[in-house]
Amino acid sequence: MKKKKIYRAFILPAIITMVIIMIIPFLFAIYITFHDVNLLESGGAFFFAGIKNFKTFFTDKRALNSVATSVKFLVGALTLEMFLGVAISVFLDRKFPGKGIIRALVIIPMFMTPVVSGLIWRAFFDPNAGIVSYLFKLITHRQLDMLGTMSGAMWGIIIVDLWQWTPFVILLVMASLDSLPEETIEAAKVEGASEWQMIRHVKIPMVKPTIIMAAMLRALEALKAFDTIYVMTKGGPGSATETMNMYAYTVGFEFYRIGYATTISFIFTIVVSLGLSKLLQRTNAL
Amino acid sequence: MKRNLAFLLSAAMMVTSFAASGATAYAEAPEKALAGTEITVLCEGHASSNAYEKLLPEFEEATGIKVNLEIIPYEELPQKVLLSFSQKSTDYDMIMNDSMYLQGYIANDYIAPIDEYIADDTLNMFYDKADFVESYEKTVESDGVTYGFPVYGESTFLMYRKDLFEKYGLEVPKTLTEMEECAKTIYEGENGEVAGITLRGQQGVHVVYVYGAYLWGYGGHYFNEEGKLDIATDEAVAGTEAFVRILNSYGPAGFTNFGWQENRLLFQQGKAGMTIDATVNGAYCEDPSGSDIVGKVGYAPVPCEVENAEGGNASLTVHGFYINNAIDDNQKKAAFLFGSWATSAKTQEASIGVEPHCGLTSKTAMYSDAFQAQYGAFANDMIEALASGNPLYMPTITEANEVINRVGTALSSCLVNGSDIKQTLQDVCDDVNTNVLK
Repeated sequence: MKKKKIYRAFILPAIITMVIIMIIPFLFAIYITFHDVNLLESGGAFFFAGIKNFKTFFTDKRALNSVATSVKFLVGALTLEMFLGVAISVFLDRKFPGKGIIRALVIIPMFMTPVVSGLIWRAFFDPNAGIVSYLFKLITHRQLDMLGTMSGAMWGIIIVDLWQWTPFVILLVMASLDSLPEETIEAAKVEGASEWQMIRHVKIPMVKPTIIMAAMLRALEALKAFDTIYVMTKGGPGSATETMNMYAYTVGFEFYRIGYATTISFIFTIVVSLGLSKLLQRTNAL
Repeated sequence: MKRNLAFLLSAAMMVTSFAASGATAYAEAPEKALAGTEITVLCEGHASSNAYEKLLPEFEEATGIKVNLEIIPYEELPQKVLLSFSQKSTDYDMIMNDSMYLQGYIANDYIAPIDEYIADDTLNMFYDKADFVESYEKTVESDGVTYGFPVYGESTFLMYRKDLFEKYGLEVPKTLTEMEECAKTIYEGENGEVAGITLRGQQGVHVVYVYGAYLWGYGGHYFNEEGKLDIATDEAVAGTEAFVRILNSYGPAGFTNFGWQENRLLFQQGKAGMTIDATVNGAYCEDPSGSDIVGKVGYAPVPCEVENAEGGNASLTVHGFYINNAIDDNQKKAAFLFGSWATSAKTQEASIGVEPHCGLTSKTAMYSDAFQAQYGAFANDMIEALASGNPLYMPTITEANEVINRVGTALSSCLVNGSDIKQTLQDVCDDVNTNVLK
């Protein structure tokens, strides 16, 4: 009994910290969603608004467009990152000279802060002086204005996400490939499995849980993407790259409608949490 | 006992002499009364702020007040100020911002009136209300109460390359159609290597800032008599079509992501024949340290398409310093001293030499020899533009930021995908009138 009390005493600081930094802000956010809070009116005072903010969200065309944009970005970035990440990992999973150096080089983009990578790629895509535009013109004799068109801008931010976060998938999948039991691989070789059969029917099924975990983590991060988009396009041109995060930021910090901005973020959090927990259940069932 | 007495006597003498010297110093230099105070001022990225940063040691030496200048891009400034003000934060003692926010700040009691300090002879040694350009000074007043200091004033004008105009025998355009013709001639004559014109096209405040030249220039307006957004009229649609056409036909690559900086740099590098932008850009064009077109630029009023336009199609914006109402009185006094010093004729005149700062608000500085020597190439055109600038050029209502953002996003869509302009403008009017201006 005494021991139990001591254990509880040790756990208590962690619980208190969690309540202060997670539970209280979350409950306060829920409270704000039911209020009109405008920094330009009444000094940011709270006025009860019922479910008005939620109703507004479902009738706000720009908000709904931002949901579609988030999904487009998620599907584009995630599909390509997973495909490339797994392919590169499998390619690197063999013995060759300089393997260590290549592995180290591949993961460099991951260590760059998103703002810096966004600024670098914005300069690369600059139609007048950027290296990407220059090379494109050299090859095709046509001007490339990547971030100046609706579809180009979306591809632009997907490419940057791809460049920065494919290494994350590589890192996880390679670690998993490295830990595969030698006996299984040897057994497959003895059975006469070709290189492709080995990858397709032995290695990939064995690292499948890691691939699913990597996909989930990447999906979460892709949905949260903000800084790269902010510095590259600010959600434009038009609202071509305005994801839910970007729109919530705009509503909160440009329109000063804190109540509605919190509602957008709240809906976003709930949808993402439900989606991911569903996915996690399926993964566990596999 | 004797030793104690001697000690007490000498201590008393020291105290008396310190007090006397302090009193003398105060009598001689009242600006030193707040020595040791530290204030933080939030400024926008602008030539005036850069100049203050360089001239600051003079103020600190004269007053003993330590000033921390925090300079951030203008796009991020209004929200940072509002967040700070609404939390009653004392992080910033004074902030710089567009005077269009003044009414909102007053309504929420965010800023302090300064009349009390203006009348205080121990504080007003740098302040001279009569020296401010009157129309600028009025923008920091409301109902006869003064709330701030006008830091800089700007309008917009046409900047054109005199050498290219001469090469192709072009006249300075008076209408927006003539301007398009000039852009076409330059663009085609230079085989697209030099853009006919460069304008800001980035969604949000940047595109809206320049779009005003077309909206008002074609006889349109932002709001109708009921106060509703009204930019889907025939005039506004014609102006928008011309705006989209000139940029897509003769503008530079990448204009849809051009803000003030990108537009200014492209023109300074000699890669465009014309631009319409803030009058401060004139100073950058004539600055040999960063411009390839010094002496090659002509300045003229913004071309206007119709004669009976509702309002002028050149902007008039004044940015001022405002004191945070949440700070204590001592801090307010120190902030007042800094604000009055920064906007004094002497400091503004000194700023001419250290930064390309031409949006002066002091008449003495504006008509000084130094100003004429530095900015003579466009000084008269700038003063003319300021005199005819339209104070309603940009939306100035409380919800201005939201209206500007939504209109800017719609304009950006028009520029990029050439969508049905009338429909896009009608959609944004419906959206704003339903969701914002209820």
